[in-house]
Amino acid sequence: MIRLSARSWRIIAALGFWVLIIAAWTVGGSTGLAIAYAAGAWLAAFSLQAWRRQDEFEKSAQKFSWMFGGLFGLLISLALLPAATQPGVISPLIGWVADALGSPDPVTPAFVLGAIYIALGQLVGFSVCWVGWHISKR
Amino acid sequence: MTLRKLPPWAFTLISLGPALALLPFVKIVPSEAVLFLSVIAIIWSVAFSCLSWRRLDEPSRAAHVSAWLWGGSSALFAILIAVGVMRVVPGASQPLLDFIDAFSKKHPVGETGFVFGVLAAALLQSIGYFTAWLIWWGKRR
Repeated sequence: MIRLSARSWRIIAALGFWVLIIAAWTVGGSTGLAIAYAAGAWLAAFSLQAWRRQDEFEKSAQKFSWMFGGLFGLLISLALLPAATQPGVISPLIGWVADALGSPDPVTPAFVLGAIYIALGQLVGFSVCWVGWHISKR
Repeated sequence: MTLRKLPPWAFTLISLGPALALLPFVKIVPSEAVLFLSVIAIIWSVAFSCLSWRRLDEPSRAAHVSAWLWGGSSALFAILIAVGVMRVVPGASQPLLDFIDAFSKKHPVGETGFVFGVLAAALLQSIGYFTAWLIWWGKRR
């Protein structure tokens, strides 16, 4: 059994995830999608390992950040929908995702983009809150 | 009963009120008005959710935090897996295409699909959160 620290597991989780996501984007199509799934599984597995190794202080930071940062990220993402759905903003992004997915219909890439938009909004909110939490506790 | 004496769950219901009241009028009211009212409903929801949170005891707060962490994040993973299935399985996106077509003919399909993706992710997260919240309380009763 490898006894790595929580930080090491987090770095492994993040690095592997982004390398696989870039690979998925580059390959595209069904193979790219399979690699994207592998990236998600990688992130989940190694993030759980990191979670188990964390102390209570760090777990509190993550819970607090996911709750408040994630929720505010979600709400801000919803509030920014009028700006995000402007044709000049959304059309190129849908085209970009459609190229990567190789999707024949226009709805699937738009639907995928909507789900990713929400996930990214929460990730940004989480990161901002997590940094703020650590700064305030030092 | 004054507003100050209301229990936390009453504030939660008040927070959801405007958003739920808006739903039946989404197709009738002009899009610009829906967007404007949605932003107001979000601000209202945040304000009353904060008031509800301040009135909660520690176990109830722990239930919410745990439910959002495990239920919310699991549901977010689930929706990202589901959107992949739409791409791989032939015809899997057809029901969504039909629904969007039936819902609104005045909006571009791409734009409506994007908004449906956003709403589906948010809705599934809420379901995941609520399920985890029920499990949390079920284990402690």
